[in-house]
Amino acid sequence: MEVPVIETRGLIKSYRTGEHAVPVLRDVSMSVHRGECLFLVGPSGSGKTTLLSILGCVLSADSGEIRILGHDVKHLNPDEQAEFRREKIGFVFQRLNLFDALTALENVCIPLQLLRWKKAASVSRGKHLLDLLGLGGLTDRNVTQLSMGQRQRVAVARALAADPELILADEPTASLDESSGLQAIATLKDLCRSLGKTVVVVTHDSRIFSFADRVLTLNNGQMKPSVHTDSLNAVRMDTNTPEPMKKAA
Amino acid sequence: MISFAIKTLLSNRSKLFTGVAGVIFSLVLVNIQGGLYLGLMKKASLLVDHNDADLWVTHKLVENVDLAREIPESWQQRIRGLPTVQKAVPYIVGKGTASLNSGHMEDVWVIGSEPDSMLGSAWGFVAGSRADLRRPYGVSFDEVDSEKLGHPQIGEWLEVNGQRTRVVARTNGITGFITMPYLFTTYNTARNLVHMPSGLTSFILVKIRPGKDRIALQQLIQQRIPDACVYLPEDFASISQKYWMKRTGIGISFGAATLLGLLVGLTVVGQSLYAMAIDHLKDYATLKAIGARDSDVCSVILTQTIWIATVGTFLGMLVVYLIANFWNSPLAPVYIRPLLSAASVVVMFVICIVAAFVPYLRIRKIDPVTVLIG
Ligand SMILES: Nc1ncnc2c1ncn2[C@@H]1O[C@H](COP(=O)(O)OP(=O)(O)OP(=O)(O)O)[C@@H](O)[C@H]1O
Ligand SMILES: [Mg+2]
Repeated sequence: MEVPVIETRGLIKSYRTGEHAVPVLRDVSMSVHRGECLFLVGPSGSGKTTLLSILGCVLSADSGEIRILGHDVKHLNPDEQAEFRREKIGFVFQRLNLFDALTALENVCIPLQLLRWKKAASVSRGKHLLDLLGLGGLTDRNVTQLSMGQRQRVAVARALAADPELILADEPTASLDESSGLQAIATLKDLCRSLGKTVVVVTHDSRIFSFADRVLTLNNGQMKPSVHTDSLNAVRMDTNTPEPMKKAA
Repeated sequence: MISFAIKTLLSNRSKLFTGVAGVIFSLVLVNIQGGLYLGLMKKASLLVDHNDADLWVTHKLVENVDLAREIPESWQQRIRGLPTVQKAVPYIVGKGTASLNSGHMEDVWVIGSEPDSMLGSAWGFVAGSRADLRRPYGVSFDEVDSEKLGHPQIGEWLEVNGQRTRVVARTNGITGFITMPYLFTTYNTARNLVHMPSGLTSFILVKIRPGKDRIALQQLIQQRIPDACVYLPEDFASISQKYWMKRTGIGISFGAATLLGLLVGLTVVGQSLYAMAIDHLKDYATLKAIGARDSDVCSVILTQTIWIATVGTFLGMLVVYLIANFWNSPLAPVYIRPLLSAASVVVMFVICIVAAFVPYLRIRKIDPVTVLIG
């Protein structure tokens, strides 16, 4: 049987504020398979970003098992974690975090520079990715001169640059209007599907649930049973606002 | 990472400007301070540096070319007898007081050269020549001292120690550490002007036959005349310089000013690099989140630092060059020595790299998780 891209069992994480520890993840077990597009939903403050950070080897869990791409990442030291992120994981951040001083192409080339690619090779890879995302004509434009939707696509291109197997996206549509949000997530999903990437998307945005292969809900620090998109769509048609959003409001 | 470093730097014009200005300021201050110091030191040995003598024979207690002590004139005969000596001539450096037409008095330094060779006489003539100094009572003065001497004109009389001299030449650029006007003349005129007792003189200047060994002759004269001190010109120059350096403590004040300049440079460059790093904390956190090593982050800051240092050095040395060439006067000469400038540039680079250390430590501390949470 194929090894899951993500596999966790009994993850526990709490934050320390002053004297006492505030538990955020109480017992998170999940697994994600190769090529899957998984959405992680849940009320605000439920620990979605915390979980994503642990999956992305940016944060360590207090206890529990975690294997990413077959590696036991719990015991990696910070340098090894950085190397793992550099090679195996692509991030799309909520606030995109593009480098404002650079052009679209230069932004996309940064992960390749971190991997010590030759300049010519990284430029041609960057151009290719921007082409795929429909930004072929804007490669030399400074990212501050792009629309939010275009910036979002640059962020996706940057996440894909190093050809990582796992893409993690935190609220990738948060700063977009409805139509560009839908377009962004459609592009992300199509591209990842065609390139065979595994994607985990944290989102509040019920409008995009239909793009998920599977939706996991995080509540009170624990994972609720998987919701498959078909039933989710039914819920969505019923109420027009999913559970998590109601709780958040 | 280099293009990231430089583009980030260029996107932060005001901080870049501050950093570069810090380097320029520091470099200019250090070089001009150092140049002025060297210039002042040069003034202290002016009479030695512009003298063609191969050896200086002086009184044992003389520490400075401007403050001579009398020695027997007869020593020159004993020196002339030595086989490798081409010439040994007496030389007078003595004090006098000029009485000006306005009624003011002005202390002057009278320099008298043996008339055949005119060894150690004036240079840099703008009116008259060494030959004119041989005319009866002929003296030269420097333009720098024109005001002190009441703007004497060529051909006019100037009274020194109650005796008349005639101004026959004017020079440019002869001004010593002691700040008193130098009047150059012939040996005998000088004798009369400074009332040198008969049989005595200030120095004996020795020229050696071509191709002969200076050091050997120096030792030989020293043996023959144990009461004398025999110096190579470069040694006598440095003794004269050290005398003033010790007496006045100018070395310390110049050194302190130079150190202050470097410190200001360190602070300004460090501050602008730090402010720039703080402005881009988000970018550094992002870099780390996507897997940048510490060395990548370090190379970004180092690239920026070296860039600031290079641009600052280039502009700074340009300013130094302009000041040294167009703002230089005999009163405050600025000597720029290439080796010293090179050393200042090296020190500046070291300082910039040290200055980069604080922002580097700050960036090292960034936790990449802040990109996602916080
Ligand atoms: N560094 C921290 N120190 C203390 N508490 C923290 C820290 N980071 C997060 N928390 C708390 O942990 C909980 C989970 O945070 P997290 O950001 O993972 O939630 P989330 O599900 O992503 O929320 P949102 O939907 O609003 O983004 C929140 O209650 C938050 O206040
Ligand atoms: Mg979140």
